[in-house]
Amino acid sequence: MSPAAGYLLRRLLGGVCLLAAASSCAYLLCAAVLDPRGNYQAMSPPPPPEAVSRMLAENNLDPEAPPAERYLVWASGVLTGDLGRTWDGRDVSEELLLRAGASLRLLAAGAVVGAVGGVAAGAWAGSRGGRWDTAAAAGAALLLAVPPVVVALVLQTLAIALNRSAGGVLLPAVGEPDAGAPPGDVLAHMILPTLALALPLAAVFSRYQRALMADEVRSDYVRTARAKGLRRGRALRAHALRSCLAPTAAYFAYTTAALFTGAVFAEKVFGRYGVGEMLIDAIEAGDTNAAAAVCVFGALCVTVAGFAADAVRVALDPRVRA
Amino acid sequence: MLSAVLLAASACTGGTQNEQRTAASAEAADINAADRDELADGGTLEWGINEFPAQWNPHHADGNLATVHTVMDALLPTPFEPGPDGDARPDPDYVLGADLRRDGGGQVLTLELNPEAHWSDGTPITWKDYRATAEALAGGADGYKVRGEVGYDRIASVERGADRFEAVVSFDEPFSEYPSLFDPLLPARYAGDPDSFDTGYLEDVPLTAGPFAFAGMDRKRRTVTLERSADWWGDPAKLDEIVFRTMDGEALTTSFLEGGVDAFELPVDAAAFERASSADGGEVRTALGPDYRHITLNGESPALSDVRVRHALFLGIDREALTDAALEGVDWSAEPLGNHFLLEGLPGYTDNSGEWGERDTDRAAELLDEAGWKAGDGGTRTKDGEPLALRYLVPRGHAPAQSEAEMVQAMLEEIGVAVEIEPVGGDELFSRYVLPGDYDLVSFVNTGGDFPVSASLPQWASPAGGAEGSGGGEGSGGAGEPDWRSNVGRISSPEIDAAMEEALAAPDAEAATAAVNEADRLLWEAGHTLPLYQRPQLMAARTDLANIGAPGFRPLDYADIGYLKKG
Repeated sequence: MSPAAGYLLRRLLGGVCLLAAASSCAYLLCAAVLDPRGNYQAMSPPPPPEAVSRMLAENNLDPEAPPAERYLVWASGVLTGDLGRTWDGRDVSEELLLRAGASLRLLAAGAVVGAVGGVAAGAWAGSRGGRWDTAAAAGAALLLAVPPVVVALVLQTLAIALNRSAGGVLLPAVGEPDAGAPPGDVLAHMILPTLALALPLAAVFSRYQRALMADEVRSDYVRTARAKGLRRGRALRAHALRSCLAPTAAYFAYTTAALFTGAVFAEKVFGRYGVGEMLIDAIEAGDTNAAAAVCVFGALCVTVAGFAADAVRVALDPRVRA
Repeated sequence: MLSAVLLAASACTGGTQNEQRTAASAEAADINAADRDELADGGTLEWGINEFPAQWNPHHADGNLATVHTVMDALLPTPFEPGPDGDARPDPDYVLGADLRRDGGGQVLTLELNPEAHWSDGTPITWKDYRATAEALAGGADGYKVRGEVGYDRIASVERGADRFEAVVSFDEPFSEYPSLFDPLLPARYAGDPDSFDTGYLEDVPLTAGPFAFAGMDRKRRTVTLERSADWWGDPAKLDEIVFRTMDGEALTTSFLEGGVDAFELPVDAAAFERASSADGGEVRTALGPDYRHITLNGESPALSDVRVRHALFLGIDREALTDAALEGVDWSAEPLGNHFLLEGLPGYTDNSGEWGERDTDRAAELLDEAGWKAGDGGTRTKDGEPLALRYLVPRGHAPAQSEAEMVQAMLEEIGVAVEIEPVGGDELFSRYVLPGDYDLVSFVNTGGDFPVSASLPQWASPAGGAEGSGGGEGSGGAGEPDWRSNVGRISSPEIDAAMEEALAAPDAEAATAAVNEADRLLWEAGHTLPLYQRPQLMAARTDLANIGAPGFRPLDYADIGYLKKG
């Protein structure tokens, strides 16, 4: 086995252990604090408490049962791919699969737009300096200071104003496109939620990339490359950018968790039915199985992103391969 | 912050307009009523809903949700409908005649079914469907996961009459609210055994019998689509299609502004009301709704076990101020509600608050003195060195509840009662605090309606297994701890039980109303739960949509919903 493959295999094993630990912690935490009995008490008239306990126990959701006991039932199910049932009888695995597509599309679009945009903006600002650099720094600081949910709401408000002045729906501010909608419409519905995810991410990346880039611009090898006759732009792209993408890729893995959190709010604000929306609803309903399932999904995404970042690092940085 | 500003703005302008609005529509619905021939044939209604239920069987314990009723009312049969004077009468689409007779200690209800009525698979609706529904809902003992509705336990049998289109329902005991039964009726195939009852309507609607038919459910986009039923035997639906679309409350308003959803029910919330009202080509329709807000007092908490203290709180709270503060933001005004069972707009509504309905701080002070809570230097009254301090639970993050509690806090401070507001998670408010009796004060909403006793009996009834105790503080621990179930106020008396029983068993409407009001008077005397105000029902709708909106106590006729003809 090549050293690079060995390295990746070790990272993969670590990721799987981390995934199991994170999922178990998430379940136990959910089981300890969430209580689905409120769903029945809000009904009029509410069913008798014994009946509620009995019905919840059928789905391994009875908060009276000890969390450790419920955890064993849940974990043995998870190993076979069965994430249990929601308080009102939905199959959680099925529901998660149904929503995962929507979330992954949004997460992927947000991650790509955010990372590429951020790296580009940072590299540009770092190599440019001066007034543009200051403006980029101010913009990034503003985006970083504002909670992602506010970014989403501001974007939505602007879109509503735009649509109003245009007298039609230019930029859909809420909802999913209909089944069989033309690709243009599907794309239009993606714009705002993608931006809401991408902007805060781009802000982080641009600062990080700018700092790296500013160092590289002054580095000896870039000076050498220029002395050999390479133009400034080409020297930066061919040498400086490549060597600072490796740390950025590693950093990307750690931002996935933040991206996931951002998606939770973006989905709620823009009325999209992804796993983030499922998490908020699950917590409101006190539904341990559904909430834990989303946490498992989130942990899986972070693990996969971490592994992908490792793979990119192996490709970019020969020292890792050695 | 924003809602506070909006609230203040409408408070300045709303005054006289409010009075006109309530006066004009207090007893009526606000649904832009139009005759069927004024409506265009066809069109799609996008109806916004704020939850996407899994269980669509309205009698299932998991299916007792407002959204389930909103959708299934278009699809499943109901034998009775309210007549013009508010009394129930048979709905001729399903039942041609109903005859009620007293029989010894019980009663016999004979329903003459419409032979044209049938399920969407072609099988006729017969007495067997009634029998299956009644047997399924009679109790949860045999594995049916039911809500525990009042009345089915009184049914002795459902039998075939002269032919299969005559159902003879025999009751062990009289039941005056019998038109609340079979709302809706389930097909025998899905009521016949616990498993079909449980899974038949789970994420599916297999059988219907209404003006609309089930056309599909998109679980990915969270929509439910209904289409005009081709084999409906009544007046055909005006709309081609109703698409129920699920979104969060805020997102629904945005979608309405953007021309997405055409109608949706609004919360009683100033910010949402202002936003929805500003829509081009849209409006908010308002009528008195079938529910009310109240403050429940825990009759078993040490300070509140004394009825004099509870009455002092009743007198210390300015219900009018709470009502105005809650409703001015949605351009509505109401008088405080004077009844625990009957709501304004229902026949027989009487204000039974008597001496406990108006604010009277002097009298409140007297009562507290009598109860031994003496005014001290610190402002808060004390008894045996203990301050009179109460915990008021509010769901965390719910601004209207928080400001309501703050107003109550300020009002009660004036009579020397300290109130500590304790925000708790919405999901644990009931299960961890209110049901186990770990609270002093809490506010929530009660649903009333045409069948006042059926709707709320468990909330006022004696604990299971004996009718002893009337809010006594002595019930502390021990094997004989009473099971209060939904009576979260933990106050009861044999007299209240008897009056409610009398109302259910009354031979006619007049006697039933008298008994209901007697039960209510006893609740006021017992200091059980302070009703605040009847809430308005708010529905945002496109201005050209007719026969939909806030229907008040009447159900919507889905076949008549439609768009007005142009010009």
